[in-house]
Amino acid sequence: MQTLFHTIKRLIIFILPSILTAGLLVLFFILFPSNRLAISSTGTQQVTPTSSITTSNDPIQTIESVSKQAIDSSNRTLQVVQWSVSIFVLSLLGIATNLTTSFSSNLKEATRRLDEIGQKFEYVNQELEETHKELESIMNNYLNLQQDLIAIESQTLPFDLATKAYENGKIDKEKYIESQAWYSWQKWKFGGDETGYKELLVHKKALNGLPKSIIRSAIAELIEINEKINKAGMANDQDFKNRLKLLKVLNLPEA
Amino acid sequence: MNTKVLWIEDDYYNYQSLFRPLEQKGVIVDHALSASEGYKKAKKWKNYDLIVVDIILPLTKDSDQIDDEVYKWEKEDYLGIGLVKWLREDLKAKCPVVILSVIDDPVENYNLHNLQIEDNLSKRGLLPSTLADRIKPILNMA
Repeated sequence: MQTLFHTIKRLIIFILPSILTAGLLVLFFILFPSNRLAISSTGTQQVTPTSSITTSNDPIQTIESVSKQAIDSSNRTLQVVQWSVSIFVLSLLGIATNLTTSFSSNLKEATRRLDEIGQKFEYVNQELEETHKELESIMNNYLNLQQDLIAIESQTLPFDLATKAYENGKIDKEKYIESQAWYSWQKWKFGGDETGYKELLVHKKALNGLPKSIIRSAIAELIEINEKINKAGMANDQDFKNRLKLLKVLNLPEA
Repeated sequence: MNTKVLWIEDDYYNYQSLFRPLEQKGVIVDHALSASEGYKKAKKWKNYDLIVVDIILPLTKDSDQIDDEVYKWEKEDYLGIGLVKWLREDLKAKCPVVILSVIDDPVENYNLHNLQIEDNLSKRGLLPSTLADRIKPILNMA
């Protein structure tokens, strides 16, 4: 909408002075009617000598009259041409002036807009820099937090963090495998993924037992299922299956 | 043309950093998240320079129709064992096959000696650099 408005504005700036110039020229013609007559009489003048010739009997006078009228006619024609050229030159000057004015106005507008954009860009740049600083501070806090978490001895790390820490040599292989086992436990316990259970048994065999964090969590889970089973009608087949698996994970007898 | 690896692994998104050094060398890793998806992709084994198989795999991760062939693998201890046997015995796939699992030495434990398994790696405590060192010779990479 704003672009349309600017286009209309520019057109008005360009066309209005041209219309004014043309109006002035028309006014000029009205103020000097002899010129207008000169233009209109050029056609009719050619008839007049013929009538003179027919009315006069003196051939010299006739020739003189015709010559005079011809010279007059030529003068008028010349005058018309002169005026036409003047009008053309004046129109050109008008258009040139309008173009220059319009160009200068557009240039001024463009410069103003460039300044505006420059200011906005600077503002955005400042904002970006501030955001970057804030983000860096948050990242540092997060990294510090991760470092603290890694440093806690008895803590089982989330798998993605453990992978990064292990790759960077921040934790040892044992702690990483412990985290892998914890991931398998979570896969089964929270995701209901049977592959997690199968992996857990493999980890248990390879580690000669499971990490304490998993044992604690498995015991809590078993207590919850037992409570469910002991209340009539509360447990379903899946609960019974899970109970058996938990007993196997914990090396406990079924009875 | 880039070297292409098919990795059949249900925990692909958690272990994908293992292949990072190889990916940085231009290896393209395609993945399948279940035995069923692995079956579909491994049928086109000629598209791959190597197939890496996890042993403990779920049957499927989506509601896609499962092929009868995949159900047959359930008679094995793990679906991955059935997949590897199908690859070599039924599909007669000629591309190298590597086992990458939490199970220690499944070739020995599940008697897979006659299946021409190129390598057998344990995911437990595996580093990306170690995996790259073991896979590079199989892919004839420097």
